Amino acid sequence: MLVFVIVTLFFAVILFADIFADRKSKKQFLIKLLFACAGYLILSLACFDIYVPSPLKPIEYMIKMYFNP
Amino acid sequence: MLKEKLSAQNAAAIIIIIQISNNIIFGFSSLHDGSGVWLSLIVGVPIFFALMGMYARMVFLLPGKNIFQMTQYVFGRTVGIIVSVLFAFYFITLAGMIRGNYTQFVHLVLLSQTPYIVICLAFFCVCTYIAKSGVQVLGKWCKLMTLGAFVAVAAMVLASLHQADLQNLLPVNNRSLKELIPDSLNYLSLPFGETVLLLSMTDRLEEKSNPYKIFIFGTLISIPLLVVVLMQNIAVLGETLAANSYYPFYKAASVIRMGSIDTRIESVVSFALMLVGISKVAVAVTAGCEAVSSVFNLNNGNALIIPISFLTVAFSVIILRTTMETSDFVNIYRIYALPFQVIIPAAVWIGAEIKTKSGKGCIGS
Repeated sequence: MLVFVIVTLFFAVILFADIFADRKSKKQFLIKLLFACAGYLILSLACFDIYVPSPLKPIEYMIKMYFNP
Repeated sequence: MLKEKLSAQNAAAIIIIIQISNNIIFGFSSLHDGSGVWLSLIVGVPIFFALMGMYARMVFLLPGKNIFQMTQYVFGRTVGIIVSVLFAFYFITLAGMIRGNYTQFVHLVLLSQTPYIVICLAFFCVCTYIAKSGVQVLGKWCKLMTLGAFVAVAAMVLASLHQADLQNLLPVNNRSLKELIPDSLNYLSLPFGETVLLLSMTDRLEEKSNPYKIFIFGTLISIPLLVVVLMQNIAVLGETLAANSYYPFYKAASVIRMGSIDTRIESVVSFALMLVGISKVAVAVTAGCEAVSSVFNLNNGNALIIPISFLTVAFSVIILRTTMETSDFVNIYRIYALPFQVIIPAAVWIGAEIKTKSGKGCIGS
């Protein structure tokens, strides 16, 4: 739980000190928000030991299937 | 808006950092080539220089452009965007993997009671600050860290001289050239191919700088350093222990005893090398931001650094969960990274050559 609180604090700082504070264009703001929220979501799930599949898993399976390294 | 310029020296320092950082501390632990492991590295030198020559040639043919702009210039906007998306994915996951490697190292050997995510977040603060300071500062920082890495390795080698047994390095080679070459190709993707990270910043290179000198000089410095580290690991630990340790350099440092003057030298050495690792993560994050800003056609990639760096923290938690997984993933990474390090740059290089020959390109520097 403490780790989740720390992650949330980091996310809050990023949200208010960078994303909302530096709104030069709508596109840039939305992209920044998207990346930060994706990071926060994954970290929050990881804090509670909920399994989040790695983005490299499909590539890993494919490489194992075709190249058998 | 004026772009920050990256001097030739700083660019070469970034190349050195990219090539040495992980490989000093992790010491090619997944390779079991026996005592002649360092020989495979030396045998592969022509191949590594050929790769560096290709990168340098691309920069020479299309000066003032980074890899994303080069791809768009050579293959058009649509293909350019697709390639940028792929590179963005590669750079962001690479940043996550490198940060994950260092976090695992710290978690395993230094701060085992501290939660993994908290160590990741501590790394995040430093990496983000360096990356956010701009390419110029990043280059200068890498120059300083190169010096730090040299001092750390030199101190380690000198201090371990009387624990080293040169007999461990024998036999120098018990394999034919046919067996050596595939082994040496293993080094292509892991330390040397990652130099592709610098191609995302080549639009910032000073006009007068010679790309050939930058790429060749950087590699020329890092190869002897890596050879010395490998030889030192094997000489101190012996072939079997060096091959089976996750962190042979740290292990080799931990056996050093300089009388009653100094023990636990490994903590000082690992701290210096962690700073080197942090620099590499900052380079990877900067490269990832450049890729994303190229995809969305944003002017300032620097503005994206904090959120993207935060995402890489998340990736470092989920991509490689354990040290064993990291060690096993090395073989998969070699194939996964090949398109980004060799195939796409080679296609861009050939395209740039054709465009330049037909008089449509811009040659210079």
